[in-house]
Amino acid sequence: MSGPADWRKGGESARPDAKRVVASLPLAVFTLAPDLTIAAANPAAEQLAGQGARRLVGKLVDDVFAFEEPLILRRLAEGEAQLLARDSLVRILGAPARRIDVMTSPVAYCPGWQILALSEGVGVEALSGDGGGAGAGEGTPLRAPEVLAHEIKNPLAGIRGAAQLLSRKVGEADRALTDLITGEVDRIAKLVDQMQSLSRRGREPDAPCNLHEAVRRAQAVVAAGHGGFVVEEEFDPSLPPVLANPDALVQVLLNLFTNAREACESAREPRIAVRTRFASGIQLHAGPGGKPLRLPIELRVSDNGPGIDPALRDHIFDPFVTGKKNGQGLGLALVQKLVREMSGRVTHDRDEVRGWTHFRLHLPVAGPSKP
Amino acid sequence: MKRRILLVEDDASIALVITAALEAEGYDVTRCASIAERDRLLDGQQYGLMLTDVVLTDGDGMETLGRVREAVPHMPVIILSAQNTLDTAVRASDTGAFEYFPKPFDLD
Repeated sequence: MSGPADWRKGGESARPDAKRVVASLPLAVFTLAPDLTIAAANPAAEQLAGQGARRLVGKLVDDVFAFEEPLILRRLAEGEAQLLARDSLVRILGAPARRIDVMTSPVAYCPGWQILALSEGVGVEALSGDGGGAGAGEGTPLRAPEVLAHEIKNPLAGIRGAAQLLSRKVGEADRALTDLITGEVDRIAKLVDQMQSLSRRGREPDAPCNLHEAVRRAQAVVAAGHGGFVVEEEFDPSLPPVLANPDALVQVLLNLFTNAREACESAREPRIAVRTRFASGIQLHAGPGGKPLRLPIELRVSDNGPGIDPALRDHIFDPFVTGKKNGQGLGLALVQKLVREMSGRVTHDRDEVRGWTHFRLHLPVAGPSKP
Repeated sequence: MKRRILLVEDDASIALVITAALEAEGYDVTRCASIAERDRLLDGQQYGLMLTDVVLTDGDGMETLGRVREAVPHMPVIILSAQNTLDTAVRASDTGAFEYFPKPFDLD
């Protein structure tokens, strides 16, 4: 049995750092610079504002928030006092006003810096389980992402259908315009689907599966979409089955292969490589019930593209962070979410000498865990 | 004789385009926006096909398909859903739906 003292034995490395703790808070936390501009926003803050941290950073607090209670902004301007305003009406980026608990506090030992924390009391699964929490209607079958998807896709279906009906009546020259409408509708629908998969809970349990089979499936899908998809393989044939969700694993590999293909498109001789190996030294203290879990199976997807923009490297798994011109920044966020759900780990590193970018998955082995 | 289709959809714009597309193909479309209205119409009329949304004002159009199946076992049912998930597709298949169209769908 793991006792409460187990984490102490692991030393500092077993303890999550403050950044990770703040990122995991279900509370929206904005860090405000002395000039009252937003300097940082955690994922809950991004979700509340409906914008990624990259867009929020640098904006003045009163450009983002309109507080009905004038004292909140006054206290922020003074910058010295703590404040808690419960159920305060707040408009965020011009959206309709919502009742939100607002907390402000100066940051210790950093003169002028403040924390603005907001809590709407939603987004965290109710303790009572499916839809039974406060605010959920009796028997309500949907949660927030599903409602959002429904509210967006219904009008899209109407717009798409109307464009198709019009396309039957217009001449060939104008059909490009109706095609543009249907094409763009499909693009929005795809984005909504991706956002929905990022927030979806309740998947199939993990089971023993063959990693190489998953690699083959993902390769076949990418090759079907883009001819000439060649991958250099270095497989360890003696690898035991991994404990994973087969569909999630294929999705993860699909996203990694697609990224690798796009990343090295501009290289003189584009190369993508996949390697599997048994790496016995890797361990993660993240198993069910907090038990240490070994992650000895490593899969590495590499490409010889120019690499991730150094400014983005630390945030590349955050939602809405992307180095692609037309990317939404959801692919790697989904990869991280799915890998974490399988109790695994995903990392990336850059080999500047050889010019390779590596994404590594570390996964648990199926069957009884070895000591 | 025109073939009769029952469309159960509470979104007016989707109902409009589906009705227009089907009527252009010579079908006779009856539209309703709730499960209660659907059951009442099925009680009095015969339809060659039913198209139904899932999230309706008075309940889940898919969950209540069982009683439609019992009342009119031979009528094919097409599910229209904004929830493009494997779970929805499997549920549609489990309820004996003839086809499942994720929204936004292709009228062609």
